[in-house]
Amino acid sequence: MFIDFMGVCFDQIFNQAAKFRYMFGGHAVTPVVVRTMWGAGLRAAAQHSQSLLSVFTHVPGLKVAAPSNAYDAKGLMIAAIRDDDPVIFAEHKMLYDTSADVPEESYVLPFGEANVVREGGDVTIVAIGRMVHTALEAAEELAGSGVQAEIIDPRTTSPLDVETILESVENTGRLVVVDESNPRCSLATDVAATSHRTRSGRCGRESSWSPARTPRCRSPTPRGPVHPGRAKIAGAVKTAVDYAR
Amino acid sequence: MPDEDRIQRVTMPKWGLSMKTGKIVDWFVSEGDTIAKGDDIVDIETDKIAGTLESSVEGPLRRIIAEPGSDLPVGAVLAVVAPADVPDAEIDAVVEEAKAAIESGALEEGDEPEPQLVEVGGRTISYLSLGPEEAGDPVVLVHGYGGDKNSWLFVQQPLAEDGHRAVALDLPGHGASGKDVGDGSLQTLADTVTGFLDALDIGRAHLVGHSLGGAVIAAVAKAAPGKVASLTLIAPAGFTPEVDAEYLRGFASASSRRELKPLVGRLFADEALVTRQLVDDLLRYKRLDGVDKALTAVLGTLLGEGDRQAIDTPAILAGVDVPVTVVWGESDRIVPVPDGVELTRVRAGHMPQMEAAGEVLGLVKARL
Repeated sequence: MFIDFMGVCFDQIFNQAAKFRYMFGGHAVTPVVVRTMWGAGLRAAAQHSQSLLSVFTHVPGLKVAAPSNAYDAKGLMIAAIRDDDPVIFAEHKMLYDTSADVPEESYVLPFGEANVVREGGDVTIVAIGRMVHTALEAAEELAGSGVQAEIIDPRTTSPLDVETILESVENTGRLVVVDESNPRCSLATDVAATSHRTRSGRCGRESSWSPARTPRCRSPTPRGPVHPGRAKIAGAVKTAVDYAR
Repeated sequence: MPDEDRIQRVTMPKWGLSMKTGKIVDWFVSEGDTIAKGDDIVDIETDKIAGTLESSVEGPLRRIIAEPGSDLPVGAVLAVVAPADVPDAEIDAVVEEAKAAIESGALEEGDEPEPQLVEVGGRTISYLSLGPEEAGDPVVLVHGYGGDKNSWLFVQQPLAEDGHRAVALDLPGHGASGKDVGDGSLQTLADTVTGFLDALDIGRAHLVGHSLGGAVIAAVAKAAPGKVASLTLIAPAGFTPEVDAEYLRGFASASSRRELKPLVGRLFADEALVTRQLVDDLLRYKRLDGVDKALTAVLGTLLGEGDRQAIDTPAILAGVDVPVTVVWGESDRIVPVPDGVELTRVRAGHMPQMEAAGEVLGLVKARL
């Protein structure tokens, strides 16, 4: 169902399914997969367009997957079904009619393993779901002006592959996070904050890198005009590049 | 001879099933140069791998059509070769025709050869057959550990274009074949190849094997010498006790791009040949259900006590009366070049069929 309606079963998800393993000393498992549809783009108004991934990512005991393509969707879904923990499987509604090469055979994509969708040395763009594609369009545009963006699709927000993100940011020195959700307490704020240290635990030097975020504006009606688009992403990247040149 | 017959076209090659276009990186020759067959003429990059195109024609290079940086479909005319007395106007006409063919998009369509499936001993084997079926003893190509039929991308198509039938298969547990390898022994793999020849009604074949595939075809020749016209062993397993066991184990266990990429680099003399797509394709294969188990089983066939090679290929070949050619990359880091074995050294790592494809092709053809 729409992720917007998940509130009707928050207790079962947050306080029961997510906690059973811990409440019963590991003797109980909750091998449940909840499929849900997220994101804006269908012009389906305020109650059918939200991007509430961060709400579920916030809760320990839940795993959250948000594939950006058909190949990842199959591998992550099989991983989710085989997993003994509850998984929120978030499918972006604007990606249902996209296609990719998908093997007939079964395969598993491990949770917590980001995909480096595009390699580049100038700036790191972290994007998930539909925004991976928008970020790719922006990256092609930026390549025209000599800026090579590396795009990382975390694929799962819980667990999150922090290692791959940090490795990339250490290399590029610049980070832009593209997020469809509301700006406060979002994937964008989380990744930007998490990345503000190096893998060795040291703080990044302010002068050498800058995070920029492109969440949409805070709005109860998450529709087209307030959404991160190609131009907005490219603008954020240019700001980051100019800041730390 | 009419001029049209004296004009030869250098075209974008098809390296592997999935190749649709190639990007021109750099020309090694200039207009006015005289080129010979086998000369390195241009570096081409595909989404799978970068390679050097060797000339299949000879004569003065009259015109280069494909600019460095351009992305062109398979079959596109890249350059024109013709004797000096063919008038410029005729060369211009060929260039115009070539450009029109690229612009029309006609080259991007066409019938793609598709891999097929066949049942062998209860296992599903995927294979790709190219070239005419009635062309005498076919060439059958057997890949190495963790490889698949795409290992032959620089060899299979040129053999077919030369009028030979060339068949590449995926061993059990590999590529698009079924992932059950049984005990994973050399015997099981060799029996599968013999059964595959029977299933395709191939009475006799020239067998070409790389690495593990070299040991497999040696075992086929031992068991059924009558089915084997010749053996071409490319960096075959089982000639020295030494082997990069860390590579083998690492390949079997790697589950991420980060783990896999440095390992795959060891296969090549020039690590720059390893593209993201090559590593991604290997990862996609490794994630398939059953591959882990298959690779672990076959690893036990390759590695014996003290991390030395468990297979003794010369012992298998002793007394087998079949012509044998051995070719080795001089920079092989996986299985070192053995002493005291008659072989051809080529400039390559463990993948001569990719890094020195022209020489490998020449050696295979010499047996046909």
